[in-house]
Amino acid sequence: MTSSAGTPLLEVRELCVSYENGPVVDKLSFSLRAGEALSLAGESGSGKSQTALAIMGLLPTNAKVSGQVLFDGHSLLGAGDVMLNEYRARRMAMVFQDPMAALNPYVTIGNQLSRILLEHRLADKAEARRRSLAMLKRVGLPDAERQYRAYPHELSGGMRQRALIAAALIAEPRLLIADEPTTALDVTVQAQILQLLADLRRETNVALLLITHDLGVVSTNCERLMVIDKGQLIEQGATPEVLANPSQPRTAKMVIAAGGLTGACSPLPATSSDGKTKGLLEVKNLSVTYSERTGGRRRRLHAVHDISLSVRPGETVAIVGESGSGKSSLARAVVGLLPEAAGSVSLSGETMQRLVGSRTKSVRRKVQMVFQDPVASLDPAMPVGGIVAEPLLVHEPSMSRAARTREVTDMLLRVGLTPELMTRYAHELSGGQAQRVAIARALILKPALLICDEAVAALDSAVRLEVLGLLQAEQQRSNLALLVITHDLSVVQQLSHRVLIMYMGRLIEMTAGHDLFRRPRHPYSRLLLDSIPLARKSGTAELVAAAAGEPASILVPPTGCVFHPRCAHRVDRCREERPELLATETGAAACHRAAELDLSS
Amino acid sequence: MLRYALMRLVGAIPTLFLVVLVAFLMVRAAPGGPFDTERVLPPEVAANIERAYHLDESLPQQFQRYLFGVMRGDFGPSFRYSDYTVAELVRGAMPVSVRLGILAMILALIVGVAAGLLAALRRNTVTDRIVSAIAMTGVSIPVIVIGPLLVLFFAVQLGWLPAGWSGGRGASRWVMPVIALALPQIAFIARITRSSMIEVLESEFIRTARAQGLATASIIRYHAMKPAMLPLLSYLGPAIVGIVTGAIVVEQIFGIPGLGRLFVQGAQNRDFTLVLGLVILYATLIIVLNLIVDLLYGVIDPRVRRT
Amino acid sequence: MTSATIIALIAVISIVGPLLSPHSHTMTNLDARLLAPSLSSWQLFGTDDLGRDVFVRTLAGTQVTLLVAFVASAVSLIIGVSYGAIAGYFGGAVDAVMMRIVDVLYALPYIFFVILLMVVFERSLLLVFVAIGAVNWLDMARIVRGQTLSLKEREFVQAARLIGVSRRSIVLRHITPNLLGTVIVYLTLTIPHAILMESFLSFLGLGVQEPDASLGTLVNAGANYLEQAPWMLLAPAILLAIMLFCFNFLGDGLRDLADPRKHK
Repeated sequence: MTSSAGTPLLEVRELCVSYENGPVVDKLSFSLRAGEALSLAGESGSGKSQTALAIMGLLPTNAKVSGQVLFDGHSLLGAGDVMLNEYRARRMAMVFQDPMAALNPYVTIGNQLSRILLEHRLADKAEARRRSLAMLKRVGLPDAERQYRAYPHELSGGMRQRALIAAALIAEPRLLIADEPTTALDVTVQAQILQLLADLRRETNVALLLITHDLGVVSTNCERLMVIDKGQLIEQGATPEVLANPSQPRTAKMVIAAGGLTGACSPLPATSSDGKTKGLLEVKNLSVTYSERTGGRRRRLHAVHDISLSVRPGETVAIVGESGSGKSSLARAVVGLLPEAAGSVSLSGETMQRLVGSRTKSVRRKVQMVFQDPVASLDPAMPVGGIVAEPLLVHEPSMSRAARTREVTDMLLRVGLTPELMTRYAHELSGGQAQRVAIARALILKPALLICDEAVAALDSAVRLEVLGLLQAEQQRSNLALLVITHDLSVVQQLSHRVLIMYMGRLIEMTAGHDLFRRPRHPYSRLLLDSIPLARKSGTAELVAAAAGEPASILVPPTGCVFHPRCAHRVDRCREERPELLATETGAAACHRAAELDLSS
Repeated sequence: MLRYALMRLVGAIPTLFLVVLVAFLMVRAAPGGPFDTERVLPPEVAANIERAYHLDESLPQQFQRYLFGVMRGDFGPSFRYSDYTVAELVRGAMPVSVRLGILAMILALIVGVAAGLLAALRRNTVTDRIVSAIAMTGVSIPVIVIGPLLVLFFAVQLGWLPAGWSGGRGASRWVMPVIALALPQIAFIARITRSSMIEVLESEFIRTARAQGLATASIIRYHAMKPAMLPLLSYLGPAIVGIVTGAIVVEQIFGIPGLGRLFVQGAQNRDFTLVLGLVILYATLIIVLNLIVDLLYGVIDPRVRRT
Repeated sequence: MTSATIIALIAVISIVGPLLSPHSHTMTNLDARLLAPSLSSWQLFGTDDLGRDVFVRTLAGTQVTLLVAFVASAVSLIIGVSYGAIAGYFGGAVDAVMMRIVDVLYALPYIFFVILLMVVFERSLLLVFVAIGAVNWLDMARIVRGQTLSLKEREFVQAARLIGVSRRSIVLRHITPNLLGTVIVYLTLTIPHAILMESFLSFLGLGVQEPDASLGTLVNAGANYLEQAPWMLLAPAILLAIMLFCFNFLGDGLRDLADPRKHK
């Protein structure tokens, strides 16, 4: 509608940014009209954030920049802070990825907002306070007066991001640059923030430059999409078309990682999922309770509450939940890393003692684990060869040195690494390589069960698909059972035969993987599904919005059903009575209305 | 906050008790009594002395008596200057030491913070390099070297200032002692201020403030100053210890009749009660000042305040 | 690296120098008091109030100072590292009690206790070693404990436990090598502390006793003859400052090197 209005709001011509070790943005050109929304998507290191910083004039001093950045026809690149400050906040503003780090921890939210108005002489003190409060209300902070006086650490992650958005929009800019605005947030909260951005755009007609690695985020908010790789534009077009028909393999991988292109990758049939095979892992009534000290008082925190589950050989079971759901505590309790755990865990019928140290070696070697942060899970002072060989040293002390080296070499080749890496250290590896080393270390003992705790969450989408593929291949090869802990439903979709959904330490639904996507039984499962923008059915935005708020504090769990404060389908009974986990025709769900509600898509 | 303050206050009491106990026991464990002199005293004189100093009582009794005395501000009589009590000697020497310490601390804070900020804001320029080099040198030159060097140049060579305390009057005799005492602290404070300000300026929330179009002066004033000063606040404790111990040397070098000189004389004369009293006094002073610094920290850092 | 070289050079000269000089550090010569430096008589830094050669005395003092520094650091290394590692690795109640003790000790102003020790007991070099070392271990214990605690929670240690590596092997194979960098850095920073403390005590006449010399006693002696013989002050004072500078510089450099944030 504004295409004929002459000069674009923002025009970037042949932008180049480089550092000592080479260019990070290479001749990038694009433009943005007033009120338009454009997404700049790319993997980490693609140069997308550097582009944003170059537009705002915030690049570090050791960066070399060339090209042109025109805002309303005025050249900004290379301008001094004095001139740029005429544009920042009032004409263009930016929201950063990590709201905890981006907000000043020593200044109240209210003062951080008011300061912007005072600095630009847009208001006096009383007026600045009034407008800041109004802005906080507008971004959906429930108790703006209180949050105005609060320090950032007193707010939840979602509220912090709302406050940061409020700060960006308070001086009514015409362009909002959002750099991974939802990456640090839980999926359900992410959906809310995206909805907020869409609403604000509609109300204020602010143009949006959305920077992200997650193509799912793009679909709700942006008409146009540009994909960049290694600082160069590789693909652009209208968002729906690029998502439906990516022309570049890299884009396609990003689309799959975001949960789009269903069917591109799905779990191979489990080798022995006929339902009769004896369970490999049996977990009965597992609870994990920490005691927490808050304000001098001791409180008990139920991280995991009475959960039973089983995993059969060759099967993949996913445990899905957001942060604080207790899924990682559950995983750690199963392998015996948590002495606080109560309940029983047995493997192939043999009970495992709770403490790692007292477990017999033969049982222990059958369960291995891969952690989220691949670099942190490798000893920084040990070479790769030593790391992969260590399990053999412990369990096969009689093995000769040459035999051990042969095994390690074979293992590295099997996970797709060259044996030359044996002498490297963890910090010299890429994230994907490090995770392969961690998998090699776990598999060298030929375990029966591998637990993956968010094992691909820290990886770029292309690498992540490769690692998921590797896990599947290993499963096929040796009838390996996988217990996958994740917050990401696209991982479930690609890998899992069965899914368990956790919320605030409780199991709220268990079902077969494909059934979850067809017909979830619990409203929270539905919410999770709707939070994947690419898998969302049209017209469910209201449902996501209705589930406003974030999980309650686990220290003071809600009465009745723990999910009821956020549930769109709650009735009085949900407030009073805690639902049991009851069987449904496809699995089990802990919801009073599981039988009557139709949540299918 | 009040609760926190009270808890910290109560927490300091066992430490203070321990100070008195350990110091007391150390003196009592001394090989030979304090009156083991070359002369052999007649038994009745020895007995008299023992009674006068309560050496005839059991150790717990002696400690109890001493502890209660200390709480009333009574540290007993001096061993060497038998006409004076320890409290009297301390009272006479205290004002000059307190004044010296406070002046040095103020000087160190003003010059150190200013130099550190200057270096941080002009990072990687000539100014920064000069300040950093001077600070590094300052950290490495101990008070025992600075004091005599100052005297050598400004008193002996140039004759601008009096070499000793008794040789001058008015402000002139304060100049060198205060500077000698403040110099190492200036260097430490400048280094801490510089590095913490640089670290804060590199943090993400400063980038946010820049994106909000705030001018550099506003960023420093409203966003960077408070967090940058926190490490300095933590250093105040060690700085106080540095000033107090440095004062011992400085008073010695310049012949200032303060606590430090009294302490060293007491130590060299093996004046047990005097040294014991001063150790307890110094320890109390440092513990109390540290407590105040801790409480200040709680006032400034919102994250400490609520826990 | 220059700093390390200079320190090594000073150490070598302080050992070799006195052997080459015709003078000894204790030999008095009342006819040759307060002589200015001269090349002809091989008295490079002149003589002191008792006619002793300042050059040789300064080098002898350096020997003592370096010895104090290294012995004190070794004491703090042995006590501090083992105490910190034990508290950190066992954690829980053991850690709480051990660290509470350190906290209380930390609040004590040590220098006064050291002086009290010097007053109460027979002054000897051994006592100086013990006193300074016993004070310096606290910092090391805190740092090592903090590091161990955070290393223990790191995922690679959990991974090792899952593999079945024993506690002993985890400490030896995974925790110790990762502590090494930190320990070396803080050791380098402990040395100038020890030197400062020793020179402080000796300056006040509470450390090394005549006729032995340390840089602290020499500076003190020099301060008394400023007008007649400034060389008596300058020689030991400058040497002390150079050594402290080099150790501080080395420590700073090593710390930056060990700081992962400054690697990128």
